[in-house]
Amino acid sequence: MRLEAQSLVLGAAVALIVAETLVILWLLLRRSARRRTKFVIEERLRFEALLAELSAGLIHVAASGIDAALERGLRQVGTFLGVDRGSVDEYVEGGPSVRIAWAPPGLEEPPRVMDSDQFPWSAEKLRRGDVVRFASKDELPEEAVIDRASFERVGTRSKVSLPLRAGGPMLGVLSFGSVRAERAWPDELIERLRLLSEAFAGALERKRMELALGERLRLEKLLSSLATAFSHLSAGDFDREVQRGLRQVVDFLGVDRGSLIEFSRDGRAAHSWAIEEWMDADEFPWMTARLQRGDVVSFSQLEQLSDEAAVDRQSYLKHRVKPQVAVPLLVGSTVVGGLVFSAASAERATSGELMEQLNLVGDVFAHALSRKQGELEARRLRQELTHIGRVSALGELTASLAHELNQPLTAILSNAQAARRLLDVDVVNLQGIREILNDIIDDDKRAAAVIHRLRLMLKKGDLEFVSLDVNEIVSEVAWLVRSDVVIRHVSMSLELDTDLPRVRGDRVQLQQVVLNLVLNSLDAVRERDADDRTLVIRTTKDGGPAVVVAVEDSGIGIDEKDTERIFEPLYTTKQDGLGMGLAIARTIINAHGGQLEAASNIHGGATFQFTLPVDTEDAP
Amino acid sequence: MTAVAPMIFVVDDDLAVRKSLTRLLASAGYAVTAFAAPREFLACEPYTDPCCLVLDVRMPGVTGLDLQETLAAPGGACPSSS
Repeated sequence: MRLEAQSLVLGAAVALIVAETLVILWLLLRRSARRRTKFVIEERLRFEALLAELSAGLIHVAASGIDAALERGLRQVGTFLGVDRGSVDEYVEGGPSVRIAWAPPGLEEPPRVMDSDQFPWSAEKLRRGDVVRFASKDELPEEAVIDRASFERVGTRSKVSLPLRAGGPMLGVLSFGSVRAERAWPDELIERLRLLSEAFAGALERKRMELALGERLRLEKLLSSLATAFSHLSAGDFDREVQRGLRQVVDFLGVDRGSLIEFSRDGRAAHSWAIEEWMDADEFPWMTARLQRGDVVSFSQLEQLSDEAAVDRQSYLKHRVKPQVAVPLLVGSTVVGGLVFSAASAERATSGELMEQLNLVGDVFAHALSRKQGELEARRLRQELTHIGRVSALGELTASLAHELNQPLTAILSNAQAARRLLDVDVVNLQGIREILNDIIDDDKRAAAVIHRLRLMLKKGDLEFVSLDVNEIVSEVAWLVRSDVVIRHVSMSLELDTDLPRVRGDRVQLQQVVLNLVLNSLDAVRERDADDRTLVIRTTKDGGPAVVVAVEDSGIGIDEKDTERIFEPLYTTKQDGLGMGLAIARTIINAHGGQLEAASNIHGGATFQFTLPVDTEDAP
Repeated sequence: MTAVAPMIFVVDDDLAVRKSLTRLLASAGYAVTAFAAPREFLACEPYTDPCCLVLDVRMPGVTGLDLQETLAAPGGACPSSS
């Protein structure tokens, strides 16, 4: 019994000890669990803090710094999670995605290119907005066979990928991966990473919008710069400004070459301007024909060209052109030209945005071309009219010019006949014959000079702006009309300022103006008595930056109300006048930057005077 | 001794024409007197022997036609060459 009691006590004691130990053990375990729970909570708080800090930080980063900020974020999160890889793949329209990647020191960064061909299953899931995650490749379903092989190749053992989306289309993918060991991605972590992906997507979206805005602003600036340059364009500046404009567009688009082709009315490629190497339109019959039909020609690779474009393809190869975009230039429904841009380096797709930009740029060039064509046509008509005016002015001088030519011819004939007679006598007067021959030569030169001057005046050609002496022009005209002045009994005098600065202009046209004014004056003095018919041509400096030429007569004068009307086309007070002379004269003087005006003289008659700006290039 | 050569007057404002005509007429055996303007011609003494006048029409001041009218008028006569 006693033994029983003893063993009972012992048993109780053992039980007590065991229980106590168990209690202690339990207490110890509980403490450790609490400590671990505390640690987990602390970790989670630290991660939350990191995410909050990252999200808040991204809001203040400028668009240009967003990529760097994302890379920093990947590093902080990746380091915190202890993963081996982190990446953001940003989708780019019409091109491969751009990857921002991170890997801890000593580990290889993930491959730069993320090809959706290699990860079709993942790409599809992400596109649907799902998260792709696997702790082990064994979790991948059967349909992910291609992805699995790809993951194997790049050494990925565990991975999580989240779509980056900020309300609109998918902007990219955020991924973390493990290569050294497998690891799980619990739901709780995915929730945290989702927060991170939202912050990243917001930053990408902001970057995209700011870049688009910047691009739009650059385009607006380019367009307004082109429009300004082309709006006050004279035909002479056209080539230079078009070259400059093309250069701006080429720089804006980031291409290598740009050309402007002008189509004439018969549909041929009339002119072209180019940046870098020009490619002759004849080498690209297919492209040219399509442009002329008003089609856009665009390809990113030569392989895209059809067999019809065989000639073009050869030319593209020759010029090492890869992608190209060519837009027709339309004014109304007429194709006036084409803009061609090409790159020799990278193959490049044409986005809708690029086409929109090109169409806007094309509009500016189209209007410049059309304005130039209109201006050239107007200039041609003006020159035609000017020439007609000149011919008709000289026509009025025909009688006296015939006399001018007849004089030396008469002298030559008489001299030659005299010489023949001198040769008939026994003792030939050689000295006399020599003198005669010298005179014949002089008279011949004189006749040639008359014809030469007439030819110059009748010449039809482009304007030649050169440095000119106004006195010389006036003297030439005075010489032309000299004979007429004589027969009309007009006393003509020249009062020329010998210290006149030179002007810049077209000799023939300025002579035409002076001739016109002088002929008008000769007509105006016709009704006067022979003794009262005076004509003075005067040149002076106006004290300012201009030279003044005045033609003053003692004729019938001008009615005060007519001093402006006489310059209108087809207005005439003469019986046989066309009414174009003064209109043409004013056009010519205006084109020289001067002014032509008429006024009545106090003591009768009229004065026509015009100014011409002094040639500053010639100024000492 | 030959007879006095017949006189031809030349009135022309153009020196080249005047000179060449004088030369030609002289080579044909005429006596020639040339003037640059009708006024000079009229200022000379009257010439009574038969004579001839080669006259330019277009001249400044008094024209050839004016001179012809003056000479054709009653009392008009060729001036002397001496």
